[in-house]
Amino acid sequence: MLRIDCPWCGPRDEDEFVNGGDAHIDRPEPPEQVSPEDWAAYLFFHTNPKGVLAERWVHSFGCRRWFHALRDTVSHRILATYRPDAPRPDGVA
Amino acid sequence: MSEPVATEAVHFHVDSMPALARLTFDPDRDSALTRAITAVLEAPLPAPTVPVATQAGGALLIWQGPHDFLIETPGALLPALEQAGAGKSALVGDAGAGLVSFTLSGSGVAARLDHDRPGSGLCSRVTRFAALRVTAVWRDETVRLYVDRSHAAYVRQWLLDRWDAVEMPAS
Amino acid sequence: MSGFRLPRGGDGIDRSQPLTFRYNGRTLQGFAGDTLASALLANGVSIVGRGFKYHRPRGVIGTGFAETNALVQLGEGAALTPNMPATLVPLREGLVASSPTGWPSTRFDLGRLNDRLAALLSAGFYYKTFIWPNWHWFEPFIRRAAGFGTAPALPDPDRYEARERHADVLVIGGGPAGLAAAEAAHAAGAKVLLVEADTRLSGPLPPGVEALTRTTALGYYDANFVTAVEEIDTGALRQRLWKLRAAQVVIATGAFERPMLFANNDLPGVMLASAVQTYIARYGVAPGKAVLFATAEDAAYAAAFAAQEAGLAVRAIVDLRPAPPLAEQARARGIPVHAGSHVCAARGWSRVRGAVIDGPDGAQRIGCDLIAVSGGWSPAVQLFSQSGGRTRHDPALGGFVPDKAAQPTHVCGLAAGLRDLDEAVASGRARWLAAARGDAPTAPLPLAGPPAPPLPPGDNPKRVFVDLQTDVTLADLEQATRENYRSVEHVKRYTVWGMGVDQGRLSSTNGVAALAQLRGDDPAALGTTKYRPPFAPVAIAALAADRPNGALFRPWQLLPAHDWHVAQGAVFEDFGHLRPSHYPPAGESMGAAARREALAVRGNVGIMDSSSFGKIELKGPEAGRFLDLISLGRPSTIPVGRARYNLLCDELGVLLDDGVIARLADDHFLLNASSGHAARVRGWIEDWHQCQWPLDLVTRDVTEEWAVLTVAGPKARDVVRAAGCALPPASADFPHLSVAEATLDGHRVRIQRVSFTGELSYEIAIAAPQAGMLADRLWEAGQAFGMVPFGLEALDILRIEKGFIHVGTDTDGATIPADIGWGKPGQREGDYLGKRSLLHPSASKTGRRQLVGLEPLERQEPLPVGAHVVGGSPHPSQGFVTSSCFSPTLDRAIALGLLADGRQRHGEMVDIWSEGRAFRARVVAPRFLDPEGARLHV
Repeated sequence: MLRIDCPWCGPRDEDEFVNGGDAHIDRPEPPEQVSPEDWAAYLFFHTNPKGVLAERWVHSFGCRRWFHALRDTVSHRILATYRPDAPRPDGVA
Repeated sequence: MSEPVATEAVHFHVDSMPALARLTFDPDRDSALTRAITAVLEAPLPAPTVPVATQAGGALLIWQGPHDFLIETPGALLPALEQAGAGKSALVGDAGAGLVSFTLSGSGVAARLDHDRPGSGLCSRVTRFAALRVTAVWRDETVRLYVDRSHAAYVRQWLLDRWDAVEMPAS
Repeated sequence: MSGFRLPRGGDGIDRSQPLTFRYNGRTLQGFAGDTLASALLANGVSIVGRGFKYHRPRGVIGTGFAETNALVQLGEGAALTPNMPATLVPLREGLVASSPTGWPSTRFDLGRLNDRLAALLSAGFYYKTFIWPNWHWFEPFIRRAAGFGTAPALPDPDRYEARERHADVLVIGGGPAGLAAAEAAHAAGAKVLLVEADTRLSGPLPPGVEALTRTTALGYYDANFVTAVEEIDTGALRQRLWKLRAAQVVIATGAFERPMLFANNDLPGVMLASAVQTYIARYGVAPGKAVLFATAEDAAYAAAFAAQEAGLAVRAIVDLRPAPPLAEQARARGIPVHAGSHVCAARGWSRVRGAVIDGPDGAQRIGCDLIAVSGGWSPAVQLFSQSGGRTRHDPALGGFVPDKAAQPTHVCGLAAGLRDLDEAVASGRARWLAAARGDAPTAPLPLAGPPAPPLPPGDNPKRVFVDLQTDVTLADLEQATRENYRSVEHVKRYTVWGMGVDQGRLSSTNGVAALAQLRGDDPAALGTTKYRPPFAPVAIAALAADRPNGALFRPWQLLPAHDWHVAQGAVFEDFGHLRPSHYPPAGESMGAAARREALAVRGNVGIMDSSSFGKIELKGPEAGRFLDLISLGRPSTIPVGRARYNLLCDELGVLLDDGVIARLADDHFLLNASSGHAARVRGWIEDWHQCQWPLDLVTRDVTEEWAVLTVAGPKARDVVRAAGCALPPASADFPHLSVAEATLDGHRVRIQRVSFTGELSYEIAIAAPQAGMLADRLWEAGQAFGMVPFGLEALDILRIEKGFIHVGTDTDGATIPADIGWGKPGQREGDYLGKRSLLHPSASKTGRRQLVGLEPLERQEPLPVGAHVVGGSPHPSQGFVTSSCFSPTLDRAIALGLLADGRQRHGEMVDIWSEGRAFRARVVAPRFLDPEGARLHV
């Protein structure tokens, strides 16, 4: 049971949250100018790192806000949480 | 070493039409709107660090999220807030219509909920309870849970079965 | 071996409180403070079980968690509990227990014949033998012969509860090191919680420290989350599940003594030396009369001296070391010491009669009925390993010790590999000081301890047992090595070594050492298998303690007017909300009720509860623009006071939900979501608004605040007016798909003229607490017009007649708007969710499954939902039936379905198949009644 630090509410148990997949997947637009490859990459082709992953969580049983977390996919340790409009704290693009 | 089961009583009573207003707006977007609303409230907005605050007129302001606030016993604040929010990105309404209030008391309450309590005295937290999202307000030794109306019957049964709680007549 | 109660002694039992219990049908006596195992030993019970495969007799081998053989079934009927180690069961008056293995009895077990068939039953035998001609023939016998007991067939009748606790420091283990750590932590100002599995601590509880005894830590998870189960055992509560979180966890779980490997080391009468000592000192029980000690370290000597003082005949101490320091002391007491020697074999058929030893003086046989072995000590690293910590092999200790912690975990005492009591206590204090300073967990303190004994050469590897519980022998490990299983994880699964109830507590280190020796490898290179929770067997009900069973399993919801529906005789169905499915007068079937209600709505008027539909308000200058971005249509173009049917798609272009959006004001919209998708749509809107398009608007889910009752049918307007709700006189002033505020009896209501039935229909919303009042009002007014209540079954008929879909029923994970007849893909201008996918060629290709109507040839027989339209290639299924009913209005069965290229196939007859039954049906347009919608616009 992870302990997740909601940027607004503070640390809470994992069962107050719902995971929302990878973070920083920019939505290509406008649709008429997006190539099929770029659209497919947006929908389906994401990295699957053994190591630090930036992902999305929503505090469904609390403030209902979305935020991002850096989590190590090997140790499950959450290294940081940050607001969706904030840059990634480890400086990775 | 461990508390004997028998002495941890939990009592509760249910209020089905609590006087509650809800306010939804982004305090950081429109400073004029924020000023107008804080002027009506005559108090600063609650924040995660101070999630509940007693307002000048006696109403209780409760933080539910950066854009979401609950107001206990709003009285005249409700129409004043509706007016302040008219034509703006703000929603004001009667939250009491959609919530039911469970007030819990007894020595068993602390034993079961203290891990969730953000501080001593008057404090609040939106949290998970009986697999539901509830807003909890602690006052000394009692805690008030605001539960969605459609789930109230379930929560009542849950308290009776899972905590052996004793139901008292409504206040 | 034949144990007996000593005349004196036993600091854990109370001889003034005798207890009676039953074991395998026999009535026996014990004392308060006994475990079931100590009481059985005191009664001379030597065979407590049978091996898993070979059904060889087994006796008690240890105490506490260090027990592999004495598994019992406790209780009877609903209270039947299998898999309980008798060493962990406190004796109580009237206890009933039985051993699960052995037929006709544990003492005389025909299964022992398996021992003769050992060659056929080696590791992985079920992959190689008993296959031809058909392995199913052998399976029932093999299953019956294996296994450790019967699972209860009745629901668990006991109560369990769950509690959470947060502490600064959690200490696991109430031995000397754990108590020292707790005391030091508390002195440093920390809030300390200590858990101990036994009924008592090893010393006084330091003041200020909270302790839970009879509490076994089971699992160590992420972020210092530890679960533990506390035995309560009053009538009111059986066990309590603790969910613990601590800033620092101190593991002081001690160590497990290792058995020794020699032939027939599984005989009843072979026990751990420390267990012999404990049975004498704590329980006042001698496990045998004449005991031989086999060891390679000093601690066993204390056990030997204690045995001698209790009156047992100590035949000899067989010590692997050539010059044991305590040999002189032993000899001075009259105990022969065979230095540099080891046990080769135990002798006996159903229990130990003697031992064969070998050493510098040659082989000799020594008569005895108890062999007390001490093969060294393995730190209990299970919880540490669960936490993600890594262990390393310590050759001096001959076992694995904690090395690198993955979380704020500190290990002290025996669990860290320390042997000396003072060192253990000191390490407890030192650990805490480190933790109090917030130091990162450091490498463990330097180790002490004698060298571990090497593997003695066995004289029959098939009879040298490594894992007593799963009957894994040295021969099995040899075979696994020969067949090239390299990783310990593979060997474990191939041989089932370490997979019993004891999870390898007594077999793990010996197995690794044996494998290392077989391969000429270093045990350090092999490592141990990964330990997983739970540490000990636990009742499923205890783990589920915070998830209630039965009716409370999942939160259910009531409609605001629930009581009114009950009074009307509704039969409810659980859709998340309990919703009326039909309202049958006595004796009416569901189908008949649904048809009657549907006809009443078409002919007169009906009332239905629509409160469960999602209602989301969106307000702000950019509310319309936001809705355009997430919708297929253009909600920003809805005029104030009007409403429009709307579709939401996901980024694949797949339909997410449908519903009506009403415009309450220029900057104010009300989105109605279908009941089944309300929560998902709410989350969807919040996600896209917070993360992608943080435009100037706010959103709020107000579903709970409004009760909505729908009045539907040709007489609907008459009813609404008669109820006191002022509607404009001319339909044109409040046309289909309009919204307005009104009052009813001074209460504010909102009326949407929206129809899911195809009839004139008004959805009237009022504050939820007034639901009953509104229902009464409408019902009263409706009586003059023949109003009936109607439920979901009738609604289904009415909507299917009109071809109105349910997203998720009539659509699946591939259905796009064009498939159900909504516009050409990508037609609308401007970006919206799913648009790019709808511009993809796959959205326009032929062969897509499209919504159609189906008229079965057999007019009276509805098609089964899910039935496939068959025929043609390449795929035998061209589509399937999604909704189906018997229409009373049309007096025939009708259905909706998804069919490949369906829109081109109207008029075609198709073959339909479902679960062995065949049907014929005509493909038609998905609208059976009033296709122009004339009835909506009256």
